[in-house]
Amino acid sequence: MKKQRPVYPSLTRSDLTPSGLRLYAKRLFNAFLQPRLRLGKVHTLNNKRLFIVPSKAGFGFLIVVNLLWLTGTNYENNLVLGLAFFLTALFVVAIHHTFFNMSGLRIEGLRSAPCFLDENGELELQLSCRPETTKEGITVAFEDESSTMIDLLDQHSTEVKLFTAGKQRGWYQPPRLKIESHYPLGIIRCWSWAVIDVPMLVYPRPIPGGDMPLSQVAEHEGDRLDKDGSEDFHGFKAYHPGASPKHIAWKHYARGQGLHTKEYASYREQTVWLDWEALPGLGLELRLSRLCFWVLKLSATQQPYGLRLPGVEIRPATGIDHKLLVLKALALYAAPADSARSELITEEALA
Amino acid sequence: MNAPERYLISRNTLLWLIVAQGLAIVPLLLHLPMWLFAVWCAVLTWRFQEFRGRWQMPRSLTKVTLVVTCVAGLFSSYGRLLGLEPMVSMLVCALLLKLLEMQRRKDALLVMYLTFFLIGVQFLFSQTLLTSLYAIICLWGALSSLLSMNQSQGNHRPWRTLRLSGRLLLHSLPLMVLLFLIMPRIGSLWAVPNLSKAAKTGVSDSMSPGDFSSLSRAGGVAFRVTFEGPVPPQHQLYWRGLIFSDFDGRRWTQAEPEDYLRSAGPMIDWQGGRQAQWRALAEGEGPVTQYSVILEATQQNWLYSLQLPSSYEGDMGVGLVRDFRLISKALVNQRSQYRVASQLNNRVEFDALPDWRLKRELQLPEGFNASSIATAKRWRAQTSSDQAYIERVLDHYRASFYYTLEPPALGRDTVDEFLWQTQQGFCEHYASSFVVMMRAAGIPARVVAGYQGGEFNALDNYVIVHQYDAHAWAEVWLEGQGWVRVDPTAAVAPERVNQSLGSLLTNDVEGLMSLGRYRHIPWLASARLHWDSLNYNWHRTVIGFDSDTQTDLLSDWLGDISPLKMVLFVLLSGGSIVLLMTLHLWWTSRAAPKTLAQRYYLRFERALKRKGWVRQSGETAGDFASRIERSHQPVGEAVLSFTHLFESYEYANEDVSRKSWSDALIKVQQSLKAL
Repeated sequence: MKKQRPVYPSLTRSDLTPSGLRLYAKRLFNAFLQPRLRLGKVHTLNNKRLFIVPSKAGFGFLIVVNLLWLTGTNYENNLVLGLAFFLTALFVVAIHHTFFNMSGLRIEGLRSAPCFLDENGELELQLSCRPETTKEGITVAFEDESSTMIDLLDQHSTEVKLFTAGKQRGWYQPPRLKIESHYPLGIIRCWSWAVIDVPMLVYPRPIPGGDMPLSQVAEHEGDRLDKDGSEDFHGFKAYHPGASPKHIAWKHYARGQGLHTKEYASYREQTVWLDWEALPGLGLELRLSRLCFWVLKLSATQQPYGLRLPGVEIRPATGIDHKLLVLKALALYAAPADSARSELITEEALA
Repeated sequence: MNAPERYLISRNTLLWLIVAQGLAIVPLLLHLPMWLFAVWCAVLTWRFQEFRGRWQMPRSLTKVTLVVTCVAGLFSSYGRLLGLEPMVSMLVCALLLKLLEMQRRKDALLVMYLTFFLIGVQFLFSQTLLTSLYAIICLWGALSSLLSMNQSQGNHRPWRTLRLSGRLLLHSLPLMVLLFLIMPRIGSLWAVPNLSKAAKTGVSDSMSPGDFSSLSRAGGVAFRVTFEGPVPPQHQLYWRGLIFSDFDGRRWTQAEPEDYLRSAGPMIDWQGGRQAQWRALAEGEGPVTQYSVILEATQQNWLYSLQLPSSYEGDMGVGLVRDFRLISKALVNQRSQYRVASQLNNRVEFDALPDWRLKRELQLPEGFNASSIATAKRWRAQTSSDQAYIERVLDHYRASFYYTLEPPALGRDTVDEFLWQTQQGFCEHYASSFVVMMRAAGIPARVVAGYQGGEFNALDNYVIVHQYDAHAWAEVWLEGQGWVRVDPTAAVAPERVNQSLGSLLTNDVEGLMSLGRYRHIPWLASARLHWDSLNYNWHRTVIGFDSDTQTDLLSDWLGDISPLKMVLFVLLSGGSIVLLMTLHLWWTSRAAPKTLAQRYYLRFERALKRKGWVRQSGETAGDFASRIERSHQPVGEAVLSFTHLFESYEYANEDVSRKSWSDALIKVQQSLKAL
């Protein structure tokens, strides 16, 4: 039953610049928000979780109301005053309409699609409301990113896909989601935050380069035969004098792409073990990135391959499922603790 | 959808905006230069061509040219840029030209807010009930376009938009009424420009032949009067407006005020001030008639009252002039209300008239109407008293005169020609000739202009005085009696004074479009009176609502007004209005009661949840059951049979009794216990 108290940052001397103050305000706001955020798969918006203030357009509206009031007062014209009072009343009424349009909206995280580090991963959400109600003009977005406007008029549930960059390898908690609506009149802004407990799997960023990190253990089985006596097509290589004419890629030449030779290779065994140990001297992330690159490359050629990481071994195979399994192993290997997640108060702590 | 696209306005919004903006400016265009209408058409054409992709949005140079042209046009139309009409025209121009460059939400918002403001501005020109009803339609349109700006781009349901904005409108009304009643009216904060171009209506400050007959055809209502107590008989309802003492042979005008300045005391006795000395010159007798008048805008400053006003007050400031008629402090440029108490029996200036007054009231232009003057002198010599002489003149009218709205034109000696040749005329002819005859015989006399009679509206007990009730009559001064009213028209056409001219000469005084013309059709006649009565009440209760009525109303409700009471009252009434609206919103969005099947299925789900089986979202009841069956056979069977019951109820519309529900659920619970 213990409620987490916000820990507010203190203002330091270095914050005393315009941009510094803006950043400080943001930090302050985040600190205020943090205990109010809840991690969960399902969020239902209610009065405890909705923020409601006049929008920019709303302040403009209030200016119009004031001008009308001044006109009505100066001309002692009751009808102009009446209009000013009507718009004032409308403003109050709009608060309720905006609130009721948002309240009761249910947001559920369905699934996420994996991505490579710093590329856009996908989060699939279901937005729904009770069948007797309708919701209109609600935007859902990760903060500061493009939003999608949804209506729940004819159907009471709809699915949305949102994209956000995977910023950390491993299970990555997508940032807080902003659900906002200015409906019906645009003069009131109502919003809520939700942290959807559907982590995204983030693979290492594939970085090309180096030789294929082949397993040392399988030296004798995995060694390549000499290049010339090979039968499996391996790739293209720029022509060098003395290459066998029968290996020249004449089709490329005919297309005007220059002279290339076809490279053939064959292995003693048709399997490849990609090995962590084959990349000595590189950092953890770079090793994983290289491995990731080769996994992608090998799976594109239908070549069976396996993966060896310290403590992990995946037997060679082909196919999409295998590729995903291998990538997942790469993603999760010594993955950094999910910092986004640890910051958040969990559902259990709130309950 | 990328970011900039989000801020563009959709086609629906554009259409809504054009409709809302059009609704708001149409009533204004009626009061503004006609060429603004052409600007509007041009802008709409441009916008339409732009929409079809034929033309481009104007470049900035074009825009500047357009703005400069419009401002120059306004300057040439008005000769100035300050003043109410030029300023409103500027706003309308701004709104019209803004349409040309409206692409983004920000522009659309500006157009919307201008529209809201202009809806209010139309009340500065007209405050009738019809205008107010029209303004509600304008507001509805404006709300719809504001709403459509916040709906999805592909929203193609105009009726839904209209319905939702209608709901917003209705929800706001109660709170608006409360604000209207309780918000203090603090009065003008600074001087504001007023309408300048409005035509003066009603009785004018001079009278020459033909003036009143054309006024009678002007149509419309001059004022409405509510009496406290019985309405005096029709022939007593002489609404005095102006007094004409100067005659130049053709035109009657008011006496120069300098004449009065010679006498002691201030010229005008304003309401609430100390009574001027000259008030003693008049004394009233008998009962006091109290009434309140709602005067339509006249752009003049004289007010109408019965006989001798003894007390008077109104928001615009009412004063009694030296010749015992009422004027307002400022021009009456909007409907205004004032209250008067009059004594119908009175003697004014009964003692004696000072010499300069006698001279003024006996003045006749030299070299005009010689034959009338001669006749007057002869007749006065033949009669024994002033009274008898008056009767003699009236008899002359009775003998062969004819009352008509279309009298023959008169030449130089208007009175001579009228009295001895044409003998056909309207009230101004009779009043003018009568006063000349009196003055020629040495009896001080003057012309009084105003209205006579009125139409009684029994629906709300008030009298409607129309423009065609405009009338002119005479007052003669008799020693010991003071000024005595004599209406020569009544001698010729007594029915004019006993009935309204509207019923007497309906087709002459009522236009083809006027409902009054068809007053012989009973239901139309009653519809006309009903409508007038609505308008009248509208003015009395809404337009005329001021800080006095507000105080009266609030003290009626609350007793003594104290700040605490006011705060409590505002909180309670405002709170309950908002609460009611919230209840309505909640009521329309509340959950429907759960069916028996839903209630049992929820219990079923709860029972399974305790053992760790939770239905995933998106998983159907059937899928859920087969998943459980795969993981645990005995439980699965019970679950399957329950699910079967649920599905046959939900999808096959089979009737399922309460007993079979509970049996199936008990089986599930037992199988779970056995785990």
